[in-house]
Amino acid sequence: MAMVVSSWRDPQDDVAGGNPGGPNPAAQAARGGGGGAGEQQQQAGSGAPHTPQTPGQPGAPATPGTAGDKGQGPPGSGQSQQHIECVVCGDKSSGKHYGQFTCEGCKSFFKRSVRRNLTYTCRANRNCPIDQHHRNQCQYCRLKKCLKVGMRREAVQRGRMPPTQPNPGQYALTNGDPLNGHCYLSGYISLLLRAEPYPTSRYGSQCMQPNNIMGIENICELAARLLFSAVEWARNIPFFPDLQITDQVSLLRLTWSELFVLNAAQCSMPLHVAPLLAAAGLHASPMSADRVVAFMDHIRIFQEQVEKLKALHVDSAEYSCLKAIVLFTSDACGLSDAAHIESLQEKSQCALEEYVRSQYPNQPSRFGKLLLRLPSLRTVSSSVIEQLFFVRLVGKTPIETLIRDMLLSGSSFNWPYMSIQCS
Amino acid sequence: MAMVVSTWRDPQDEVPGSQGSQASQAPPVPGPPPGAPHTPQTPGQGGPASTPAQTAAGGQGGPGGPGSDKQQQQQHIECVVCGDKSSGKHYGQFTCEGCKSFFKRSVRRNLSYTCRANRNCPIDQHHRNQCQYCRLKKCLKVGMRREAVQRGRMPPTQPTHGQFALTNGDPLNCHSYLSGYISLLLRAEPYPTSRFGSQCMQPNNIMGIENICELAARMLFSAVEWARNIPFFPDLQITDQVALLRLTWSELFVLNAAQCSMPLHVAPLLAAAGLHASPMSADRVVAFMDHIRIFQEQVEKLKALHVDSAEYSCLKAIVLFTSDACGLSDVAHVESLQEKSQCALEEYVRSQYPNQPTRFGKLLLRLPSLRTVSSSVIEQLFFVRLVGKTPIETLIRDMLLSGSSFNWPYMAIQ
Repeated sequence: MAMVVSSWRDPQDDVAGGNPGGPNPAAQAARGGGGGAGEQQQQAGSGAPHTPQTPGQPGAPATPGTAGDKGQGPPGSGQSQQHIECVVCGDKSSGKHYGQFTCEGCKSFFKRSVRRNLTYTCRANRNCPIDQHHRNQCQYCRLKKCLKVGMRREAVQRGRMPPTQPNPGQYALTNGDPLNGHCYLSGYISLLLRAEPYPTSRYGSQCMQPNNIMGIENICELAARLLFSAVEWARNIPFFPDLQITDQVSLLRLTWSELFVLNAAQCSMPLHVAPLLAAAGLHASPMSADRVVAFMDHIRIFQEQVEKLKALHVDSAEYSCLKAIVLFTSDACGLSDAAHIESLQEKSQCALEEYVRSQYPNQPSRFGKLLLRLPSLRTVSSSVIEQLFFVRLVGKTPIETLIRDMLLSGSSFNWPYMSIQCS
Repeated sequence: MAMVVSTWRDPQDEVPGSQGSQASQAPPVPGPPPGAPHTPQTPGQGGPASTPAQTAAGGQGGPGGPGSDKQQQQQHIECVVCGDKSSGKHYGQFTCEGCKSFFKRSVRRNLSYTCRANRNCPIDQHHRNQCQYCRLKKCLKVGMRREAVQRGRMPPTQPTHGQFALTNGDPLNCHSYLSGYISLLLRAEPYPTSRFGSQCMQPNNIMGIENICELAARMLFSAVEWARNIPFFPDLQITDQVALLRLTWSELFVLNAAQCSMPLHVAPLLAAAGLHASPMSADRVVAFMDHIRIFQEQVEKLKALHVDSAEYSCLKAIVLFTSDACGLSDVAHVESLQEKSQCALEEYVRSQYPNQPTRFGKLLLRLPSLRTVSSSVIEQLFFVRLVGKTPIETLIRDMLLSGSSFNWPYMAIQ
């Protein structure tokens, strides 16, 4: 039987280790008919798009790497032909758990970490070896490796996924950063997409109601859902839960309004009623004429940014990457590891670039255009959004306090004055 | 003699003409060699139609050219703007007396024109006077240099900036156009980096508060002057120019501060001096110092990326051409200029830093952070001492309208 070889020091080799098993017919048989066939087809599908683009790109440097990756298969199978290895630590795998072949130890470790939303700290340099004998020495690096090899957090929360459920389509990537393998980047985007607590269709069903039915109360409830989904999404994406809780709070406090604007654009939130909301608010608590003018100006800016995003026809994967780029900003105060945050932002922009290059080859400036939406998001005033949509719901409670509570409470969070139904 | 053929409707075709004029700069060289330099770039460009014409013109000289036009004007060089007889090179290109004078007038008086059509009017010998906007646009597009007018004729021996090799260009923008755009951005810098450097490199203990404020004033002035000299910005309506600069001056200032390595460790001292003069509440002091830290951080991050001059120029153009400004008369046009600038940056970075595939994205991701630097804090730190209560926005408008004759309200800048 074929074995999956996994080394633990070189992240690139980790990704490569997962690949050779796919094409091997014996591995396909070992994984069972249905699941194996599906996975094989998926990999074949993702492989095909690479071919047409190779001639136009410097393919030579990539080819030797590919050959090298494939070369690692045979030695592994020679060593232990009778067992499938855990892709995290190399121990005997008891089957597939949370999306990958893992042993009972890593399976339980991952489940505990996810269900309790545990955060770990690495006392070394975040590159500890994870093998059968050392896996318990650093929980941070073990969880990091679980995520890196593709274990899915949402599979824990939602229970075991049916074997027949198809995975979202993988995105063909080319010209990846040498430090990130192709499979890794497409896996990253998949994880970002799966972290969305509300599929876009659920937004759509509410947003598409006739405009005259969407009243002020409905708008505020939708806004609350958008904010909650931004925090919940952050809690479920790769790497963010691994950060210290204080850093998580800092990042969300700084970026919540930008994430809100992106979510508003993604679900086509009807914003023509914003001035009505403002008028209602002003009636309740009057302010000076100068402040009214400034307030209305900020509402116009908010509406403009949403319209510009919609005009670009940003798709779900692009929105996910943009939100990750926004969230992982080293501009937040007091971060314990700014360089790490910067590396996560770089990963996110690499993933976005690779995705856009492959999915929109006829729009060469699309990647730059998407990134240039981000400076404009900073011009949307967070206090104006707070005034427009949340003061009515929560009174004087600061948004920052709500965010911290959402972050710590998770799905059990209750709004101070209104209970939100969560999926 | 070699002839330069120039068409006026298709912008893409115009650029090959510009290349032709460059080839004609070497009259002693025989026909075939001038054509040779074009060959290496041909495979990467999307203009197969222009290649045969270019080769024919270069290789065969007068007799074998496009026919009647060639035979009629075998003895004359054409104006690259309108096709009239060129009287020689003016402001960097072979132009006729009419276009030469038109360009000089437009630049010296900083004139802005408006096109009543779609900004693609034909510019030829007989129609060139019908639309001044498109005529000036074409003058710039074919490579006439504004700074050559202001500084007088450039010595023939002065070398031009090296062109940047570009690959995989956007089909809508050919290579020569983008590299020309970056060259024009670089040439618009009123102070070469070395002049900033000579002042910045003084020992730290000599750089006092007054020197810092003077340097800051020079940097603000250079940002406005640069904008006045780059392609397309002077063509905008004056109200749009003011709106753009008012919104972006502080971001341009931060980029300039990073580019010249402005010593910022003294910023807290400046703040303390200012506070001594006009005390403020404790809360405001804390917020003020926090903003200074943000300003310093952004400059340090830019320096850590080792951004070069061409990259700084493109970033500044991207910042300047923002459609976020209020009341713009043509938002779509400003957006298209920003897109041109980011395409130029991307092509440049791809070709100059092939081993840094994420560099372009990293550079663009510096721009959201620039928006977090408070413009009022920069104003308080560096300019209140110089100009008192005069708002920065007023100074910017005055600089824009006065040009090099601008005088600071309390201090004359060389």
